[in-house]
Amino acid sequence: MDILRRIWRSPSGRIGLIATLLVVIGGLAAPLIATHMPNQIDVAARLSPPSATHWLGTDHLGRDLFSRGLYGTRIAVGVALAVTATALFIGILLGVIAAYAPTPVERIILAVFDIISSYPSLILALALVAVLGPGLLNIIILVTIVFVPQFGRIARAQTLTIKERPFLEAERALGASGSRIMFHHVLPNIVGPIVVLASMNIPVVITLEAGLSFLGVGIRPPLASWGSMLFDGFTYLEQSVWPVLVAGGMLTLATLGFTLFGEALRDAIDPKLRREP
Amino acid sequence: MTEDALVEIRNLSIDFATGRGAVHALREVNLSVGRRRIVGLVGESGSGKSTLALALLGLLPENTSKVTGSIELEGKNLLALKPEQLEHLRGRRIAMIFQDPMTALNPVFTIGTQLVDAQRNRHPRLGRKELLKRAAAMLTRVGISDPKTRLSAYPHQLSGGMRQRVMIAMALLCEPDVLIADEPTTALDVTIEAQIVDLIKDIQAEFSGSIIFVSHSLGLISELCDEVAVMYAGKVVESGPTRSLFERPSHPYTQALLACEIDPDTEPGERLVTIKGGLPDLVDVPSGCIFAARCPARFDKCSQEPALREVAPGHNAACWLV
Repeated sequence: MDILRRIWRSPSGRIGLIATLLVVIGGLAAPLIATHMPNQIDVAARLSPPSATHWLGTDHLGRDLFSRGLYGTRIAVGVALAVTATALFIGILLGVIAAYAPTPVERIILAVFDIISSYPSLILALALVAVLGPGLLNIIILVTIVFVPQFGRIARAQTLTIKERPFLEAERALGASGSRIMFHHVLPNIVGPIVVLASMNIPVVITLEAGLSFLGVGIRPPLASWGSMLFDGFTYLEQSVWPVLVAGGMLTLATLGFTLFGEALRDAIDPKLRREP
Repeated sequence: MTEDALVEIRNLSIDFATGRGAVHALREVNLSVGRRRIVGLVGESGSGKSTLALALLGLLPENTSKVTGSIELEGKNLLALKPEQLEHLRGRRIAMIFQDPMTALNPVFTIGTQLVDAQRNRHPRLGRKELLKRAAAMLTRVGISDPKTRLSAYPHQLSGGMRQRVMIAMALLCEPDVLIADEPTTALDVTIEAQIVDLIKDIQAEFSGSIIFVSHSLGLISELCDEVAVMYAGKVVESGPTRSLFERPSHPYTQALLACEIDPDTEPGERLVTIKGGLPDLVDVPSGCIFAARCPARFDKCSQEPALREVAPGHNAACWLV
């Protein structure tokens, strides 16, 4: 709670927290708030501007943009959380193992990390789509692969800095086993910075997923995704700006919110960066 | 005395691999620790005291290249055990108190959690509540007031002396047969040091195991230990009952160490006594007596290596002058 209070104290943190809450609540409560079903077609009202029935207008098939945007939030935030959590888990596991494993194993793990991160993330994601094919689950899997190395590297570096600390030797002297040392004693000491990295990673995943969906290789229609909404809106841009504005606006709100929140979280957790009023 | 020894170290030699070649950290060390005894290990930095302590725990560093000889705990050779068996032994039969209590406790867990963890090996069947109760009792035992509150404190909330008491409590909760104390007071100030030494003495009185007390201070050793082994450059150069050793220090190195103890009568401005020179190169160990290069009483015979010879009952020194 102390951390929340500290986030609230900085203006950007406050904006980030509010935006993040709006996005998360909007996504969770989408079925309750949405005025229409996300895929419900109203051909008579194609590409209409905002009105009393369609609060933010409609797209080229007459689907309600407000409702589709809300359901898009679920996909965007859901994918981002799933990817970040999985990448976090696998990354920490590989990172800690790399720090403790014999040199050849460590080399292999680090080489894999290097190979993955030597490609620009969007290009690598596109290549992996070509192999795995599009679809919600595949997107989660391949974006996870893209993000594992950064968590793995941080986990390894953090582990190396505390690996030789006397308290770990003391634990061994008291009979703790190797795996107990790794996961019960090392892990709690390294999660802080990694969790901050994870929170800053969420907006990156959101934009990557939107980018893939925009290119037509991400979330499959008719499932609502901000990226595919942007693409459809782009196609009909001359007839109505509302689809692009709504999808783009929500995407901006979410990424901005999570970024500001992540930065405020980092400042709140790291005592060295804490600015006392 | 050898018959009822709890720990018997025979001809233990340990080498570490380095870029320059093998460092001979321990060379043919013999040491026996009787039941309910406090044995002191003295020597300057690099003399092999800590290596010996780590060897007892089976926690030698990864670059250990050669281990010969034996370490027997009640007749069982620890060097022949598998890693899992050693793991089983640590925290049950052998426990250790570390030098720096500031860094030897995990900063992210409460004292209570760490004290409970320490007992897991010893009492795998007891529940957390029971273990916490035992932890609280042990904290009282080692002189920490208000143990209930301390159990939920984090290490950084305690002073150095208290943390060392917690470390001691942790080691004692394992109810070990052998307790190794590796310079447990080095990081503490003098008044706390005295309290900790008193505590260890107290514990010894009701503790059924043996204590190996590693220190570079002969003063502490004389106060606390039943027997002393003086180490120099990986060898035991003199060993024996504390009384006999302090009355008749027979190896020139022991004598020099005693001369180096700071005398309160020293006048301001007067120079402190030091032993000139430094430890010999442990990669390329000079032949003959290892202390010869720094020894004031060196003579022709010192080019050959002296064996340990009896000075008094149970008191041996490795010097040609004995």
